[in-house]
Amino acid sequence: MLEIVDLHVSVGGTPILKGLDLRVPRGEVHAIMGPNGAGKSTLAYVLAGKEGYERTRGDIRWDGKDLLSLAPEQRAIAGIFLAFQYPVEIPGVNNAYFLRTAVNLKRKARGEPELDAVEFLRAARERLRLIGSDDGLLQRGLNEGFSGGEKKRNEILQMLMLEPELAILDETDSGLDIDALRLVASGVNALRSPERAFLVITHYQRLLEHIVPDRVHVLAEGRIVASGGPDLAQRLEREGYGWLAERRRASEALG
Amino acid sequence: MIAPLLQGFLDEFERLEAAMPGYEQAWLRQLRRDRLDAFVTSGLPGRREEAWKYTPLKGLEQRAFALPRGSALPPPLPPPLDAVRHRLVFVDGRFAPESSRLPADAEIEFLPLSEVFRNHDAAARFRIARLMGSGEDALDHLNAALATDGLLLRVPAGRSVREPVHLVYLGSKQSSGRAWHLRGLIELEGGARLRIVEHFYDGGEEAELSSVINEIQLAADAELELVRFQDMGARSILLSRTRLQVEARGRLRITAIDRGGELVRSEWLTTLRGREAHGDIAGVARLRGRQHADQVVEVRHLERDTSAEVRFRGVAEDQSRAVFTGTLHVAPGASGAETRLSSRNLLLSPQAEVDTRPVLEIHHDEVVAAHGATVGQLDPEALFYLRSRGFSETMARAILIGAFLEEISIRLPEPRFAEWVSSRMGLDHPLPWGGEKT
Repeated sequence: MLEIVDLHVSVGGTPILKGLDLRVPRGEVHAIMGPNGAGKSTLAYVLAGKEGYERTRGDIRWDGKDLLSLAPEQRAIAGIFLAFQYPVEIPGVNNAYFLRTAVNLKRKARGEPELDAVEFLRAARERLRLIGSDDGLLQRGLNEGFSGGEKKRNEILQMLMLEPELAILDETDSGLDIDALRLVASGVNALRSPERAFLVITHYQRLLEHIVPDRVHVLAEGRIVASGGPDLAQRLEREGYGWLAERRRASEALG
Repeated sequence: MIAPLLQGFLDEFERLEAAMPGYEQAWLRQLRRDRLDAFVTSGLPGRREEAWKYTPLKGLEQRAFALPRGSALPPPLPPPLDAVRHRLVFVDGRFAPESSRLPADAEIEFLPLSEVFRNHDAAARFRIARLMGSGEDALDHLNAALATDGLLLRVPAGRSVREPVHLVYLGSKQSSGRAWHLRGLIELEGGARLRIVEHFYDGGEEAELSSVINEIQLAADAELELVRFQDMGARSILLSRTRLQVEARGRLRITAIDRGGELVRSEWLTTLRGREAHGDIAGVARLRGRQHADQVVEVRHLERDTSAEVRFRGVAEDQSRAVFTGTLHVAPGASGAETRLSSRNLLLSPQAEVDTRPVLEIHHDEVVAAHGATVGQLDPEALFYLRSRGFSETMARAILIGAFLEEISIRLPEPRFAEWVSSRMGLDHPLPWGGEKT
């Protein structure tokens, strides 16, 4: 279970998250929606442990453990995975080498035997098929010269190989055409299980037609301002975010 | 008063001169004395001399070094050298036949310089007199006066030597404060092909001074690939100078990896003398601790349609210092010349220093010339990306350094050697060297 309590986060002295509360139990998919600049990516980065994101108040717990006290690599080993919105290109690092090392680091930490090159390739091929890609992706430099769609698929491939317990998808749908979107969604759906929690961050409702969430939360101005079932996403799609702001202004006026 | 280093060499010379190979040859005796005089007169270069601005040697003059006596036991050779077929080993400035192998079918003519000093005909005398007389700065003088051995290597016209020849320069470090010197000549006759791997190793952390000056001549249509791995101790001082002459259509490819030392200077002075001669010179300085490496590349385009590509990558950590000077010179009349230089560097600690100087001297209009130099840091976004996948910070840094060096490191010849080099460089990550295929 992921528990975020009264989280305040500043970036370069500017408050971005201002009292965010969220609980995501294992086995559930929660969607975070919200307008640009609401703090969606900040939430993703704070969970993954990026430098420069300063917690000024509040807590994040994963299975009761204090997540913020862990280094990014310790979080990864603990089962946290962030699918980046803008995966970085690292020329000179072979994608297959990178992914196999990452998988084996995690296996080693868990006391499981490491995968050799053949076992790794077999496992990777299976998952590549699921997201409509082939080995070509593996033989290139890490994200080097990848198209937007290839980068997103590569993130999903990593997620499928690393089998995280908490997966955070940061706008994985942005820049994808409908076919690619479907394949990415099928990758995520393949991993859904009672042990796993997902946090799907998106600007549009489109992705949620293919990954049907258990809960939808609206993040605006650094806080969760509304929560509901999948129908909340549909309403946001129809009416935009304006009605939420109006509702908030009204409730603030009432004191 | 004469500085301790100069006095020390004078005294040593006095004591050991009569035991130097070729002492009985009057011309050689005279040449050595003249060059020692010239060295003492000039002294070591200081900070004011532009070419030695970042690596002044003046400070060394307060120390004294002894010339080696007797023959030293060679330190164990690193594993990648076990299985090689062609291996010429020099220990403390002397040829070590017992550690060397060069089968007769190698199709290479080799003689240790010490042997030729003792015994030569008129033609050989001309060759070695030119070799010992070349160069005119303090380093050339010092080396010519005190080098008692080295290699004379020749690949006859049209021969193509398949197996690389490993040249191993070792310091035994059996006692502190030793100095050794080597001088050599490598000739590739018309159309000959040769691969050389140079190794500079030593057996410990004792203070040591060494100088190695080699002349390499490529006749028309000859091809040379030369790889160097310099991996000496933290207290080693190495002054190396390689002069390369390339005739028409000759092709030269150099990959030089320096790990530095107390003070390491590696000079690659290249002259493209014939039409369409080509030089491709690349290097890496990977420095940690207090290591210092000063890499110097000079390419002189004398003829039409000559081309050169110079690429160096420096990585300076801790309190190390990486210096690079690349000079591209295009002579009047060298029309159609193409010359490019890039120097990219990673500065990984606030106490480290990188000095990079690209210099273009273009005396002809119809040429293509480009140069660029950068100094940067590891990309924090890339570091975070790797760490978010479970790589420790140390591992992530090593991977990114390896990736930065990749375009040069992929030129290393054999996987075994490449793995050795990458492990010695603390990259614990074979990928950019061998290119893992899954």
